[in-house]
Amino acid sequence: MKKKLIAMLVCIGLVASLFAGCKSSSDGGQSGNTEPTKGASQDAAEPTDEAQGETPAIALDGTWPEEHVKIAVECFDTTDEGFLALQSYLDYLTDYYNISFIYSESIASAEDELSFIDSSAAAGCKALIAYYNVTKEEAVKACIENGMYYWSADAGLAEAFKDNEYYLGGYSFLKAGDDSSHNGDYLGGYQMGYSLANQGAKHILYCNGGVSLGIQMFIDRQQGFFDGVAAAQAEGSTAVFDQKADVIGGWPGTDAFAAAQTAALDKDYDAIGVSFSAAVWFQPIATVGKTGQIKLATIGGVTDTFYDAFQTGQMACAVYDCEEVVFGNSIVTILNAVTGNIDIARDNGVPAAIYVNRWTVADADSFTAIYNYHDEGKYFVTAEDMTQCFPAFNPEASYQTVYDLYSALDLETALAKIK
Amino acid sequence: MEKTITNGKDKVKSPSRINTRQIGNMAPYIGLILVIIIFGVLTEGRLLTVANLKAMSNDAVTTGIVTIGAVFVFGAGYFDISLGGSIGFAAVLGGLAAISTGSLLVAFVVILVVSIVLAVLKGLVAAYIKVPYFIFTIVLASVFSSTVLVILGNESSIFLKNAVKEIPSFNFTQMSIINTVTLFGFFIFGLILFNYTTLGIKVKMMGGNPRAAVQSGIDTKKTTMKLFLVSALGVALAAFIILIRTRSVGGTTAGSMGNDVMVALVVGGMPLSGGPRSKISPGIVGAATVTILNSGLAIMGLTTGEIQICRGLVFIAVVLVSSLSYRGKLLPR
Amino acid sequence: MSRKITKISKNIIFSLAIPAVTYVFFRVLCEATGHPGFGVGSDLQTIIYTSVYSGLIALAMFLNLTSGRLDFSIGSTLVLATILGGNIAKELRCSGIVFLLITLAIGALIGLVSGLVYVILGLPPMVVSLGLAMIYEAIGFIFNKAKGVKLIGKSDLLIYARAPENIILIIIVLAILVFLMEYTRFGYNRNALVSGQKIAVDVGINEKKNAVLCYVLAGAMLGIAGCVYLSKYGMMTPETGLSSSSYFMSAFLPIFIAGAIGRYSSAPIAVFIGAVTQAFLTSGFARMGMSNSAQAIVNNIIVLAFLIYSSNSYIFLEQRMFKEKLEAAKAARMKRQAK
Repeated sequence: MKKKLIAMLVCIGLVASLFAGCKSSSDGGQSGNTEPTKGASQDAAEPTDEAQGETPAIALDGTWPEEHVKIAVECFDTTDEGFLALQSYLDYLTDYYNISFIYSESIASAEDELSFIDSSAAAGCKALIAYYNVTKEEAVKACIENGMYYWSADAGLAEAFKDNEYYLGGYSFLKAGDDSSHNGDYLGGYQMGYSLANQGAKHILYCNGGVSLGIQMFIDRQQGFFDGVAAAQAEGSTAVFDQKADVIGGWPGTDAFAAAQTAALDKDYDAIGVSFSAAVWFQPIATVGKTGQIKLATIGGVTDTFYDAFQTGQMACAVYDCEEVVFGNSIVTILNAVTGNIDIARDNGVPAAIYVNRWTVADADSFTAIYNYHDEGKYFVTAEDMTQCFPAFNPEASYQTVYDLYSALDLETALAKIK
Repeated sequence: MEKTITNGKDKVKSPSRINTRQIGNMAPYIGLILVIIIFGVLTEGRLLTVANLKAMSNDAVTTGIVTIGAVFVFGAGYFDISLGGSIGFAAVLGGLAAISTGSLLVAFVVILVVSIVLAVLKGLVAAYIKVPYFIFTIVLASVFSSTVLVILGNESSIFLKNAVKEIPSFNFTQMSIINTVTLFGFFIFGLILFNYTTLGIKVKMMGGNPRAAVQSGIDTKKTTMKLFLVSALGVALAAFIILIRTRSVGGTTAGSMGNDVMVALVVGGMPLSGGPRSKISPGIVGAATVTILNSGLAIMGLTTGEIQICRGLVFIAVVLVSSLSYRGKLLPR
Repeated sequence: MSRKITKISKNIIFSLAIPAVTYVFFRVLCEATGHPGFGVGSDLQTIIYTSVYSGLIALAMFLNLTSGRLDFSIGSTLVLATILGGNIAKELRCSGIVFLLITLAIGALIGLVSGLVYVILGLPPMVVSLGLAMIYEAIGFIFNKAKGVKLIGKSDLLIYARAPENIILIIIVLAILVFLMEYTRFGYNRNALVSGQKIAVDVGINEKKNAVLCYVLAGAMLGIAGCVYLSKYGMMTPETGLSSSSYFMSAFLPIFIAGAIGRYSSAPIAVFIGAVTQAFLTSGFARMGMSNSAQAIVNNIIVLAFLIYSSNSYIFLEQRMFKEKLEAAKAARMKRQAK
């Protein structure tokens, strides 16, 4: 038995030494499972400075940047529609740029998050898109220690890491001068509450999802919702809303939620704000025969789930973070940082805070227009649009170029693009 | 070497039975090496870089420590799936202590005391109340996690950075050293306890045949309490390490530890029902295999669905080979 | 004859005692604390839905748990059967009954796979079910690109969330289960295996066949439960990361209540009575506005209480027997001494 153990240990040692000699960082010849589909060779197509016009003729065929860039994306729920939409957009971009993505599994705990960051670093990722963050500063520190860029929109983190080269900042729903103490979830909840109260609701219910499970994003959305309704009430809305009695919790699928939902539908609510998918309300409302009498608002995507509801008028509004606008600018910032153009990724040395608009989609026509546009494979920020942000394609590119591109895309501009 | 007992006729044990049992016993080690080789190749060597080894030490250490402690409890036939809940509970109280005093030492003491109290509770139920223990621990786990949420109130997580005094943090390398030292230290402690003291023998007897254990003079009640105290030590160490590594505690802390420990034990070749085939090695081997598997799958950049299918298949395959050594006529329960 | 009627009445009374007491308790408590409406109107509809849904999951769990097989893959089987069955029914544009049969069949098929993997590999069921849960979740995730199933608005299919359809459904299911477990060889064999595995196998009962049938039946129950869920919510999304393994938490209390009243009624009916009691508890707590965490703690304490009681109730019986024997022995001694 002892001999076998020693033999085993020797084997392990041999195998380990075999691989320890392998390269430990990503190399240009990455042959992972995300080969650029349109690209020729992986070897760089050097920007040819032919005297043929101002911009160098780099083909948008998956060969730029020269060195392959792997990016990790962390999420809370891999089945979340917003995340799935983002995945489609990012996968679309891999056809044009020499990039690939590693997506996390559903991250719940702090240990899972740090573990994912470490695995991504080992896999050779150069950056992390933090679609979700549990440990706050520890996640950023972990990325910095691993030499990975960190992209997110958490204003609190920006303050702590503004001088660190690996902290990239991200998007912001606030322009310069706005109150920066609130994050995207809060603002989403705020818009929901405000919109419902302003649209003539009489008695509002709020469904707060994961608050009782202690999940921060739901806590933020709830606070935003409360403040949004209060703001509308201050402006004259007659909506009735009690922050204790008119709030239900629970996770869909549990018996407790079913009980709370039925009890709520018994009352006289005519507007419901839902912090997670509003889709779990459609059928129960139909079952009690109140279709058309109750309007729903949610933070969600322009997807199949809400298509019918918008046509029938059941949805009052969907606070939509258009993936290519709100999250797509991460690719611009990251690629500029990775290709040595960090100044374009920064606003005079301060981490990026690209102002983006949240689209409050409140009518069926807008919804359908956006839905069909995406369904046809078109995006409001295409790979070609992005090239103006990279000096390799546009020598005039600057932080302002990026800012202008994304901040201009509000709902009206987007709808105008479609027509 | 196997002795053959002859009684006039040459009776030799059939070679195939020897091989099956040996293969079964070696299966966890074979599984570990195969996982290292296969994922080492599939990840083009990224799996075994120094950086990733350090990273894997972070993941392996908590699972490994808890699993080593769990061997004692599972070995005696007590199926304890509430270890994750215990860790979360202890970590929350330790975290609160750390934040209010700014001292990691106080936090560790609180965590240790809480773990011991929980262990005593579980031990008393195991020793004195007749109840299907696995159901008891499943329900207990749910009670722990609900209680943690009640304690946290409206906060999703508590952060050490909010402590009254600054609490030192440890960088990647320091953490790896702490992890390795703690894991191997606890493993050696568990190894000595299990293989070189009577406690290990008592565990195996209680797991194998409780009546025979009582008849042969083992004080099962006292021994049960001791086992849970050993497991509590593992829980306390794991909770402390999670606290200093992530510097935060929330409702989801150690949420999947119950399943992870079970998987590590099984993959490490230990029968979940305990008994004479219990051994201490799953603490290291099982935890290492599971960690390497998870790390390899993550590095390969597979989708969630693909990762889960791989994980499920590898899990069943390793367990199948490990169990070759103890197949019986009846279906296991 | 009158003895039989007395026995039946006694059985009915004792079987219904726990849910009746629970109902009255919450009715009084809710009215007293200013939360009226418990157990009537739409709340009653919810209670019936929850009883049926949780009852079916509890029945599926019961079939295996009492044989010592803890099945972690219950949730993933339910989700996968619902996603597959729902999407097929959507394509076929069939009626509600056909939808139910399709989902039931798919659930049974998944159960068959689980059962076969268990008996062929011969691994502990906890281990097998954990591995299978990962795989089923993954299949549900990959199928339809993580979109799950959406049948919102298809009221011809989604008929099982409201009375009287769900009541009729559960009565039929219970009738079939009672028949299978009390009047068929499968049922006898199952009971024999539950009581004494080794003896039953030695006597010649085919344990593997029985185990597989249990899994198939459990899968069918889960398929039906999925239909009920879809009828309520109209959609289901896939689960990942073994989050489906928490589905069985709602099955424990009904099973242990069934253990407590098992002397007085047939096992499937007892489980359903347990589910009804649990539904009363959940609705009552929801009415009173108790937080989810507090509800979970109270629920689990009640489960533990029933668990401890049902595992140790034989002690009371033993003590009573001992007391009776002691009385009889004393009486006999007195008689001898008097002679």
